[in-house]
Amino acid sequence: MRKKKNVAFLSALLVIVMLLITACGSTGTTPTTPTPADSKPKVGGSLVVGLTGDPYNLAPWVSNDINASMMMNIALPTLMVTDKEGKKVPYIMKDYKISSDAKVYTVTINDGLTWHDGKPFTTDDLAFTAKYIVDKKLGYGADMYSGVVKTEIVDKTTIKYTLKTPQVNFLTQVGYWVPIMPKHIYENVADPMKFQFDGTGYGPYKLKEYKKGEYYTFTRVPNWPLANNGQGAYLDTITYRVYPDANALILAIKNGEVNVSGSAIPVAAQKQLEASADKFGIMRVNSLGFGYFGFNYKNELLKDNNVRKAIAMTIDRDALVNIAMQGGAIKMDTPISPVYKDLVKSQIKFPAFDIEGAKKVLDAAGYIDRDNDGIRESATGKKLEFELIYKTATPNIDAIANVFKANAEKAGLRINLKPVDPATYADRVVKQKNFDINVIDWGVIDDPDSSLGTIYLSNASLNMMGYKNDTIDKLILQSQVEPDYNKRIQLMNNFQTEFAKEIPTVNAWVRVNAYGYSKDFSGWDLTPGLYGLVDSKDLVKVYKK
Amino acid sequence: MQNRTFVESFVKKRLGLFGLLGVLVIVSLGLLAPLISAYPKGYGTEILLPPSEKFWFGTDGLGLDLFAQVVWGARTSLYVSFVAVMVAAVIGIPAGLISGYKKGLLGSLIDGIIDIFLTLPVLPLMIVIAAVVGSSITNVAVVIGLLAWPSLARVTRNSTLKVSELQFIEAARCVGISPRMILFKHILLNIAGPVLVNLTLVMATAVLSESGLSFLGLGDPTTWSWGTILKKAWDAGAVIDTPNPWWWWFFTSSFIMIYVICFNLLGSGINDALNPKTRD
Repeated sequence: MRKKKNVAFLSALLVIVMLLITACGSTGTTPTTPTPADSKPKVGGSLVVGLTGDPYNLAPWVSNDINASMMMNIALPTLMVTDKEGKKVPYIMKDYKISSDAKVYTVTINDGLTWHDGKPFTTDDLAFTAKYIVDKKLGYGADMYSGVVKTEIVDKTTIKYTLKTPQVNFLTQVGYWVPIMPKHIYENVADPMKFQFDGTGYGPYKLKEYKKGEYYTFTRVPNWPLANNGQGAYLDTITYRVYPDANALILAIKNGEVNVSGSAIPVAAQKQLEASADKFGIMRVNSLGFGYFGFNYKNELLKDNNVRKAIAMTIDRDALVNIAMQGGAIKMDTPISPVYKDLVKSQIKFPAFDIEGAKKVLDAAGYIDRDNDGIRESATGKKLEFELIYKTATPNIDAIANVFKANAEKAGLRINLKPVDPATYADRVVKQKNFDINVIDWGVIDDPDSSLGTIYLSNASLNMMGYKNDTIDKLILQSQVEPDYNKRIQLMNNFQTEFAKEIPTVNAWVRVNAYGYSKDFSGWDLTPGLYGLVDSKDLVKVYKK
Repeated sequence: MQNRTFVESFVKKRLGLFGLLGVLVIVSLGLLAPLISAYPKGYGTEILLPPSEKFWFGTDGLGLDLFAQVVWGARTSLYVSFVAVMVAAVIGIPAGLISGYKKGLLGSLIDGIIDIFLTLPVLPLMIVIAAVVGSSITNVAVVIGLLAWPSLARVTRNSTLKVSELQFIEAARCVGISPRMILFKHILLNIAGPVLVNLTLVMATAVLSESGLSFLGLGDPTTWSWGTILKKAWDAGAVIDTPNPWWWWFFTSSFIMIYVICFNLLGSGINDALNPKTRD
């Protein structure tokens, strides 16, 4: 019997040792190999892009799937793209004019583009897209084009859109988010949701073959007019491979199976690639979104500006970005993201981190800890105790919530953390608006000078706070119809002054998106936006060394 | 006399004693957690420090002491184990006793139910239930207990079947002792060995299940449990990080392993000491 036990004990020890060996094995570094010297851009080579999810289908209009739009972006590039500062600039479109009342948009597209099946790419397709997408209610594109009452084709490269009401961000929204649909293919399609689109586009790459769930290969369109002075893209083929998660993707990049990550990669994965700096590079860009702590105005205590101001003063942005987010973010202390430099030149800021200051604000407003339990009470005896709700799926969110809680409690507030799954979050926060404080990381809030209304207008569906302020509403609505950019900046400055005073949300950070790439390729470029290093306008410049 | 023989025989089997010591250490850690270290909360500036005199198990990504986390995690693990065992015992022991003692329709019905529950895929079911009932540590413990009772009921039933055939039970029945008395006094006392062993196994598996559920994000992220510590380490990329903060996941994983091994050793020690065949 004893012998049997000893065997069991030894087996247990063996398992422990093996587990340790396996765990330690994963931390090893990759052997280094010499990389070829930099060379001049030339045509040739194949690139493999790693995706962390299978594109829903080849028609980006019918789904809200980031993998589909990311991949198809090289076959169906958009009219507008972002520049280094996140501003929208023409790409497939050559030029545009906005009427003084922001109701008529005249758009000129670049000449010489054709669909991959040989048919010319004309303003007919643009007019068709505007109508078809609304008629068939195709995703967010239908909302963006919904204001168009008339399209007028001036010639094969010029088109006029007339809008029902003035809308200053019409073109930057449809131009950036919605690729053009091939009229000659879709005009006979009654149900686009069931139609199997073959991927025919007008971009620098055309779809060659694919196996759903595994890979999608695109080949170069020779002499595509908008890339490299009419030479077309450099790389012969681009293949998108599908991986189940970020860890599998990083492993594939390290093994050399994949040359670039499609979506942003987590901080730990960045460090892994940086450890082999001779083989891999990381490019970083600030996200177009931002993270905030929002207050529900249904809560009597949070309705008090003093309480919101005191909470704002307990937010330690340094700890949030450096500790909680492991350096994967930058501080945001202005109501509008610092990515939009013109809009934050005014330097209108939220109250700075100052716990003692927060205590003074609460003292002065009559919130005092009368029963010595560490939590302050209002004059009527209500404790300053709040629930902080957040989605568990957001990276680093637990750490963010804990940093927030620790500082708020130093000032005499109690914060109860309420981590929930995305479905519960959507139900409780977005639908029922049943919460005290929420913390969220918005992915993309582009064109803030005209789009902040989606979060802060009194009647906006994403105004979870239930915040109502006539001045804010007026300023946002004025900015949405003001064609002059400088005047919009002034309106946004007024907006920020009011916002920093009212503090319906404390905006705290902007995530830094990082993308890993292989140094076997050169010419990489990155702008803030949706598609990282594999944005069509940047990918055409990449070449094999 | 019986007791002394049990203790002597238990002490003689060193592995059982080793298990008991381990269990005692973990139980004391859990019970005395407030005296051993402060509850880890907030954040600090000493981020990802390796084990040192000041921080025995190092610090995590928020600069919190990992030793304190492991100690407070032991408390949670014990709580989960205890609640799970109570739930499993309250359902499993009576179900096993009745189905083993009553041979009619009732016995077969309960036996059938045990069989059905034994065939259920426990982990996926646990994940689904935990997702539905929400992430509180008590919910998780109850769910684990609810899915752990069938094995306990099966062991109880098998032992009851054997004991209920013995003459002293028949004699008890003849002198008119009530079935409830027979079941809970005469039978239960005589099958205490295997039942106790099974309960220690439930203690061990409850911690594994809780760690698994917490790691999958279905635990209670606001309470320190060993699964939560590992989940935080995983989420922060500590397992794949270069250079690797191995102390973040190593000590906690080791404690889970030690806990499970010690409870298993204790269980088999008790079994051997109670079983006349293996007593010597």
